[in-house]
Amino acid sequence: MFVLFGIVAMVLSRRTLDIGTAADMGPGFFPYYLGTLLALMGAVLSASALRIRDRDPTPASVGPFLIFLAMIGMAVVAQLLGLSSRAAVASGVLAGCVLAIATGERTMGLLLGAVALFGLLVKGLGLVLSVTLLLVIAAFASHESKVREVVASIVALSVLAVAVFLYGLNLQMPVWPDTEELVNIFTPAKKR
Amino acid sequence: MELLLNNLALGFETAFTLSNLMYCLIGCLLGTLIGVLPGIGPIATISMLLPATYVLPPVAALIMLSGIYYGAQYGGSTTAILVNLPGEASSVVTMLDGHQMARRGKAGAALAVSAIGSFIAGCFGVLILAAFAAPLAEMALVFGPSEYFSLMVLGLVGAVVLASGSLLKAMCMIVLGLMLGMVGTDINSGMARFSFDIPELSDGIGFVGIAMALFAFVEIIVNVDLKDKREVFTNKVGGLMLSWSDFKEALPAILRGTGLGSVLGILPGGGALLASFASYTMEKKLTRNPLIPFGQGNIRGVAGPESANNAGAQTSFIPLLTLGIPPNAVMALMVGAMMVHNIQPGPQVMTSNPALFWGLIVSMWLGNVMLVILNLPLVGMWVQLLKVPYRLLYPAILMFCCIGVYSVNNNSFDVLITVMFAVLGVAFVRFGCEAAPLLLGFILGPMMEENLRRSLMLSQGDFTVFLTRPLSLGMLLAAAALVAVIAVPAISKKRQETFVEE
Repeated sequence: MFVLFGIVAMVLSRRTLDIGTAADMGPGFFPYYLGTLLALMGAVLSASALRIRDRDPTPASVGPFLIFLAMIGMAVVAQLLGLSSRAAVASGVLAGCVLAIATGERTMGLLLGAVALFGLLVKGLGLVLSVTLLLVIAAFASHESKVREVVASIVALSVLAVAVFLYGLNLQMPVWPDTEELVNIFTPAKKR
Repeated sequence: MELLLNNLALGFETAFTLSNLMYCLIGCLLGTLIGVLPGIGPIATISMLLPATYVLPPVAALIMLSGIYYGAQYGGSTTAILVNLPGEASSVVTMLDGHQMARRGKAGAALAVSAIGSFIAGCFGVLILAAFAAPLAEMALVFGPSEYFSLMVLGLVGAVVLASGSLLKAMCMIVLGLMLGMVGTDINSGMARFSFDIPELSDGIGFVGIAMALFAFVEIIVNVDLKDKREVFTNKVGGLMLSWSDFKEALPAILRGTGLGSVLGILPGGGALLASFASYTMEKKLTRNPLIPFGQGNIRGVAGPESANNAGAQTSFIPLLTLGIPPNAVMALMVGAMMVHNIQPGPQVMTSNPALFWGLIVSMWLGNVMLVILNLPLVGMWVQLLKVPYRLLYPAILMFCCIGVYSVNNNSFDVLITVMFAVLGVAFVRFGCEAAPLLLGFILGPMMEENLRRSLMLSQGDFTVFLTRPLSLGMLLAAAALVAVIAVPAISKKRQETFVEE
């Protein structure tokens, strides 16, 4: 994993940034050497992991990392297909969450999917509805959730959220749905 | 001395306003709350509340956030003693003897001794902070960029060596953190780095988002999967009074814990967690023929670590406030909090912003007084809180995090980035890598690059500048020594023993 990050950083800083000399460093200098260092240490780490055979990486432990890679991969593909970079990242992240649910990382997929949706929709749906959505999806993540409790916590927490964040801290956020913003969110072609 | 008194007077003036007292109280209350509740720690809470402090004046924000950190040290012991769960990572060792004391019907005494020990240690830690901060900051003023660079190397290496877990993995995490800190616009050339043409990334990755993803979200995901199994020892807390003989037995441990904790808090990588482990080991070694063996309810096993973790929590503010170098992940968050309010952490804080500096210190002492009051008589209330099941708790945490991340820039992209980091964070947990070094690296990355660049510019590309300046050389040698020490097998074995609870 670290080898990968290190090499990616090395390649990127070599190709896109001016490394410069030690006396007159370019923007790529520090990242390039950090990347080298990371790749080297990662190599040592993998070597020692291979030597100790008793702790083979099981699929379960690699899973989340693969999902992370998948998110990035899908975002890149989406961008190549012509989506704006924001929309590409959004679709990559959401697809990754679905993938997580499908591959047995149910808790992670549901919780983080809920979070991502909240972030995407809050501007359009308003605080109350998006909190409701967030909590409903999140409730499915736990096997112990009870309908009555979930409903009660949605009511209590939305009131609390509005009270604390809007009146207490004066954050600028819509409370109720705003159709114009909603339309904006779902027109991905628009390059912002 | 007179100067110190004057400064303290200024501090009292600042801290004693109604609103600042209130924020101190809120911080302590929240700290105790999250300390009592297992499954949410000070790092997650502070990152959750960071966005909310934007609207506060800087002094109030820092007072509240630091209250959370040391408040958690008080609260954690309650859970450890009564439920045999670490409410806080630093109270893991308190469980060993504290819970046994509770089983023997001495829960009250255990709670009392940990609160009193924490209080003594807290007061002492604040005193040290007040006394040493000024001279240290003066010393820091002679630091050039190369000294700063070496100091940061030392800090990062120290953080790894003293932390638990695999050394190499932690090193990798630090470097990864440093690299993540590089994302965004380069300060010198104005060029965007690693931003992949995404406008949001050219401002760098949001610090709040990373901290929240790696700590709050990951904690939730891990905890939801665990079944709720808590056996609360609520039946009888018993008298909260300490018998005189108990007190006499605990006092030396409290004092030793305080001393040890104060020293370890200052060290890079130190802080509350390390202090409590070290203190327990020391008490075990020093006490010959204990009346009650350690691990079966010896009062010193509670008094020492509990004092040490609080002393460590206080003194870990010293490197932050004087040098601007965070010694642990919580302090890294404090750096973030200061930057949010346009305060550049470092020696100049004391001179340019004395009210903030001394106000914070005095507030810590006041906070300790509040915490004793909050914790001892009100212990019953905190215990009741433990009965709230996690399934009711996590949606609330999740919601506060979401709104928090979003509200930093009112931007949905930040939320998406946070989600990606949370996935990465879960991967780290599965790989057995700790996230705290990554956060430290992330905070220090830009500072390190700048200082490296400046010192090499001054020396015209000559790397020996780090070795020819005596202070810088000393710090690099110390860092090398730390690595060498850890590489020696005998010691690394010892280190493992300390961190795996006995």
